[in-house]
Amino acid sequence: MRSSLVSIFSYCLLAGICWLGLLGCSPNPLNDLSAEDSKVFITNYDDTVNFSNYRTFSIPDSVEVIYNDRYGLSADNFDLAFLGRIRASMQDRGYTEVERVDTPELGINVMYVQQVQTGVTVNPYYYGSGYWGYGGGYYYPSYYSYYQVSDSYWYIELLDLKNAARNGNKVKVIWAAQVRGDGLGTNPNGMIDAIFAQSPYLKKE
Amino acid sequence: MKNSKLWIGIVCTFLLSVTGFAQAPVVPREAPQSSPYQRYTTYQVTFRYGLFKPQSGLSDYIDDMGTRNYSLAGEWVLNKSFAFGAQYTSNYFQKRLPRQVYETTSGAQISAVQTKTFSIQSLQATGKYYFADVTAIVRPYVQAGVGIAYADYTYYLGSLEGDSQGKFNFAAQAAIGTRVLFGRESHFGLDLQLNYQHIPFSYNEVSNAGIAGGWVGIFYRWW
Repeated sequence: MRSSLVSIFSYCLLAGICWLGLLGCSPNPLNDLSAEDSKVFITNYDDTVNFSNYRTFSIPDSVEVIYNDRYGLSADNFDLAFLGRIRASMQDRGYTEVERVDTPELGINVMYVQQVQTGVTVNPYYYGSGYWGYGGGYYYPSYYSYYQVSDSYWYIELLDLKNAARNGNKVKVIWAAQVRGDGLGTNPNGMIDAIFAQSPYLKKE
Repeated sequence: MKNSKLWIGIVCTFLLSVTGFAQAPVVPREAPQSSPYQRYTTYQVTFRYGLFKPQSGLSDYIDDMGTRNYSLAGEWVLNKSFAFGAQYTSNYFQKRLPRQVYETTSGAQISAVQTKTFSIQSLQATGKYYFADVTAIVRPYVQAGVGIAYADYTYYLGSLEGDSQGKFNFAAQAAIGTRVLFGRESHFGLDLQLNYQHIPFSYNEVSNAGIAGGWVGIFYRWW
């Protein structure tokens, strides 16, 4: 009697161990996802802002590449195409590009972020608020919430330079976009077109 | 003379009786021909593949037929009408939505292809009642089971995990089916079953998940 109980207990224990082992054998649901379909376009904006109140913008001539707490600038052909498409999209929306020294009302930061640790907030190093002539730093509306996971992504910010002096030299981020997923080094036009398409409010008229 | 006739009669009677015994037809006794499956508690393992569809409670989240469902069961088959055992079952459901823009509660707009998944992996104790003899070629049955299940709800936005919830739950099942032997004494046979499983898992759009479907399986029995 005792040996049969031990036997039944052994079978149950074995079945339980096998079951726990099988729990980790779920299929990967993203295996068949194409690079285009894997992309996620995330935009946020300050809904108290009337984007038609701005007329001019300026955009740097290079992309800031951020790798955890290190940074650098990049301006290869892809980066230039990426920046060029943002420039063209802003112009299509009615804004006029001016030089940084000509007091633009909107500034644009473009960053490529790699391997940021989870929970770390991304701030531009090179294109800090001082780059635009305001030393008070950036601030974000409280409802900005973005994924912060350790992968690579494009990050674009639109800055309210027009009202920075009035806000104690603090530059408010009034629109931001992220592009995540696979194939971030291809099809710059497609990525930029997608984030502008889901931001119809971003226009001068 | 009278004595000699008596002796001849005795000898003849003896000879007749001896030869009579020797030539009497041997009638063999009927040996018991019952199957070992009728005499003993036997064992059976069954591997099943199935198609399952989410039912109310789960269909608001995923309503596509699930094609990745597997089961492995082991049973003690009693020589009468009952069987008891354990069953491991894996059910997986997935639905992909084309790209669209989602508005989050925080005001962000997210454009993504959404992939929804729901999986159940359960381990249940089962009991069966058969409606035919253990040696019947076709042996219908009803089955019930209770146990524990790990249910996982995860959806993805593009390559990002949107939300996930996995937890252990109580699990129960009810089924009707039939076993079809490949031969009266065969070790192998076919198993067909209609099955309903209930997992009281609730999260977001899922409220008390239920799935229904059919299994087709192969079993092996031995003693």
